[in-house]
Amino acid sequence: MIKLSAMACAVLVGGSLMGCAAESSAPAPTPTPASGGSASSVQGTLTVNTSDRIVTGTYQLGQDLLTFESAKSAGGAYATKIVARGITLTTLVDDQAKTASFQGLATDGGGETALADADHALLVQFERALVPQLADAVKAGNGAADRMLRAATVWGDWPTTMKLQHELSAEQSRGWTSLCGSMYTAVAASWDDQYGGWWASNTTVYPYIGDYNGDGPTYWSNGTSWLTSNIIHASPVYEYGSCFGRCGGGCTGWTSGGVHVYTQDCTNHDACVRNNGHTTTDYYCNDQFASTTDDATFAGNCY
Amino acid sequence: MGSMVDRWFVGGVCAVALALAGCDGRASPPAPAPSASAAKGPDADLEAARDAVTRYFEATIARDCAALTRVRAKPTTPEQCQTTFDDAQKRGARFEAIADAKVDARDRSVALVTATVAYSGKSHAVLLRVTHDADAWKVND
Repeated sequence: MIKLSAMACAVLVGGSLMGCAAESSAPAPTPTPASGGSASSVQGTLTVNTSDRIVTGTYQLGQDLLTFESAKSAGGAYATKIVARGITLTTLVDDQAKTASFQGLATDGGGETALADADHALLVQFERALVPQLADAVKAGNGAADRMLRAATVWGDWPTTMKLQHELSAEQSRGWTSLCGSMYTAVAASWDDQYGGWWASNTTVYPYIGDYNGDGPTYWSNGTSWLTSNIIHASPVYEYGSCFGRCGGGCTGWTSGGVHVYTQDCTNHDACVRNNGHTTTDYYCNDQFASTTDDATFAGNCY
Repeated sequence: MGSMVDRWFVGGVCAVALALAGCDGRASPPAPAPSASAAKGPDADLEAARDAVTRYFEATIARDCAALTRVRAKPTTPEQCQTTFDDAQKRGARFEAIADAKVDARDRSVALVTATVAYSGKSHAVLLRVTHDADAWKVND
């Protein structure tokens, strides 16, 4: 039985629990990092061309052909472009100014459009295919590869009910809280709703951060056993699974690397989505998603 | 921020795109086949789409599963109705207005309707695709 001190766990610093991580009298989940990725779990066919400043490629999944490119300008900013199913998704990132812009338009004519479920599904699979192919380049410091992966992460998580335009200006002091130092411990996560608002007892859960079961299910516990059914509004609730806290959908837990950014905002978004009867994004969590875009774009990789 | 981003899109994109494929919209590698961008039917009826979104939220707030099922694009079980209703109740969701409706630029048979919905104590814009199916306009949520 997991037993965390409710009083001790009420102490929050930057949204993280202090001193609550491993205080359990029964089994905490066992991490099995990087169990989620394997060549057989990737769908579709990906081709990638990587150089120091430019990454280009194609991804074919069924009838859908996706093209992508990422390049560094002379001024140091990066532009990435993903074109698929009649949509062009553009991401501009200035690492120096810590600004970024996301925009999606119809490829033909540039008018307004929105992601459909089929677009979302394609982008999710694209990210999964891209991670192992660009991981080595990212680890070697290839900025174009890093920007491509991070853009794929954001677009793969983009809610279908959110306009395809978002601009952000991030400052690390207030923009994101990295949880790299809290990997494989329980931290507090919250969202707001009618019943409690942020950090109320019934809108606060305690997920274990990190890769415990690859893309396996989310587990919930009220302290007695781990269940795959949501027991939200039991209190307190502990959770783990599918890379809880990682920015982006699912785990893509490849040993070779990739974007494994874990932050407080991404944890809160996961908590919002997973604890409200959904396994995918829904419009009640769009605010939380928007808060993750600077994290996914600028926060450091945890591994 | 807006003006800087505007400059980015005018200057930044072109500067970077010059290294990629130029600023003329041509992609390298080749652009995909426009299978999804082709219109699948007549132009969206924006009034009908607005009405569908209004009925969608009214059904959600009223916990009317039959009405929700009629207007929702995805097949909806009673359990899914319950989840949708409970979500709305938890958030204190309240439909406010239709803010915008336009034809989807990549598929003119699809309407993009923006509704303003109050939940968790403030107004939010929710973008919904509305598609025509079986002689009715359906909301993709």
